[in-house]
Amino acid sequence: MGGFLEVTDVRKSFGNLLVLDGVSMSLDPGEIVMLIGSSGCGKSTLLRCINGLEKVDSGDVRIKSETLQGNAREARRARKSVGTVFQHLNVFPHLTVLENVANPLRVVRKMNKPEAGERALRELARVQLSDKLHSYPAQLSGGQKQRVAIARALAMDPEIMLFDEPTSALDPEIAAEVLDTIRDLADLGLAMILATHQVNFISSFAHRIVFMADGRLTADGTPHEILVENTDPRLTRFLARLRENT
Amino acid sequence: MGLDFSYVRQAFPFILEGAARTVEISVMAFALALLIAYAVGIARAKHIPRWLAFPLRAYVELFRGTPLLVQLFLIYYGLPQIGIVMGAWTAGVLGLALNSGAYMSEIVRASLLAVDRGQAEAAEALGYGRLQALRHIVLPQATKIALPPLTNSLASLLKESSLVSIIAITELTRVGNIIYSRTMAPFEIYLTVAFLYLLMTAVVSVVSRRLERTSRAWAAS
Repeated sequence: MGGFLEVTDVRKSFGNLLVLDGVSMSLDPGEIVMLIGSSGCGKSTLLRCINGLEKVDSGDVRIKSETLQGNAREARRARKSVGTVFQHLNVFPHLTVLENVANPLRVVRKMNKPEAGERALRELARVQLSDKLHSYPAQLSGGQKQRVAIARALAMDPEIMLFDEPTSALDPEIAAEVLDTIRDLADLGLAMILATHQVNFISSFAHRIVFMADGRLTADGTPHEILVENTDPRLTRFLARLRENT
Repeated sequence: MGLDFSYVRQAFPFILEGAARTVEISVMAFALALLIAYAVGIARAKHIPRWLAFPLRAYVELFRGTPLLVQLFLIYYGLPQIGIVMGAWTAGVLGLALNSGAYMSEIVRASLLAVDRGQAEAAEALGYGRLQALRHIVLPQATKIALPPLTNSLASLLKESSLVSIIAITELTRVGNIIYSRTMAPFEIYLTVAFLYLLMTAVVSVVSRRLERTSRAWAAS
């Protein structure tokens, strides 16, 4: 199919450090891809190139045929269909839960107040935070904050959701509630790329798993192919280490 | 020998008038200083072209590195020499504002830099433009951080405004000088003047503490 999300031979370095060494991948509408690899292998940077927070040195990222590498306006239009949930719970501390979701709708989508509020209520109900509308993030648990971030991203009607280790800053029990929320999203038909170490849980609903090492995608296949049939020694070692830790 | 406040009591309406002028000039200068501080502080916290960065930095360094009194002399007595004439009141407000603005711009700049970088990125990822992210996300958080030091600046400004007495503005300190020259009893009048300054800065402290409390709700952790 192609053309939905196309990452083509992307290279990116920070100073002398080569982080992405020719990464290519594509994503179909509704496809859920799990991105694995040890910390520092370039997963975050790849996601940041896909949502336009980083400019690539060479190569191209196209979302529905629109490039992220053009001028600011083109890039802004292209990234409109991408929602991101970060590792570090980047909710806005000076806004209530409701405002966290409604403010982007008003500022970016130019909705009026009642319209934005109504939409925000719906998204917050989806992540089961209807009882926290007027709380400030400081009064929430890490998992609740992350669910606010998810609702906030969903309210912008993305077609692709990027998750950058959404649970690695959370306690295991709290991580579970966030993972459940993410699994529910799979039913919405959104395409997703999940950078995560929660292999067992995510692979139960991921369509594909991509393994990254040293800035390259070295394995790409169905969960069964990657987790069971693979013969790549680095991937095997990585998975063994991961299982030891969980 | 005891203190005799009878003349102070008699001149009290005059003294209060001076205090009112002190408040007036301080509030005006502070409002202008806030404008300067936000404009300069925001500009200096961002990546701006060198032709703009240099003069802003020069402004901050010059006004922080020289005495306010000398700055007032330069504005009030010096500028007319190159054809820029202004009244004492304007010169006083301008001098105080430029001086405080330089310090306060550093407060604003540091507060902006203290806001977690992830906040601007989260906004950017949601589609906010640079200015939208600044206005709706970063600036409100920076202002919360800047609030205590900024109110501190207001208290300083109130006290420093006594210097404009030397360019013939009849504010509280000058009223004190005038009364002293008539009574030759400095202790009574300057005690009164000092007390009035203390009263004003105390009001600022109380208001500041109240402001901090109301904005603490979202910064509980």
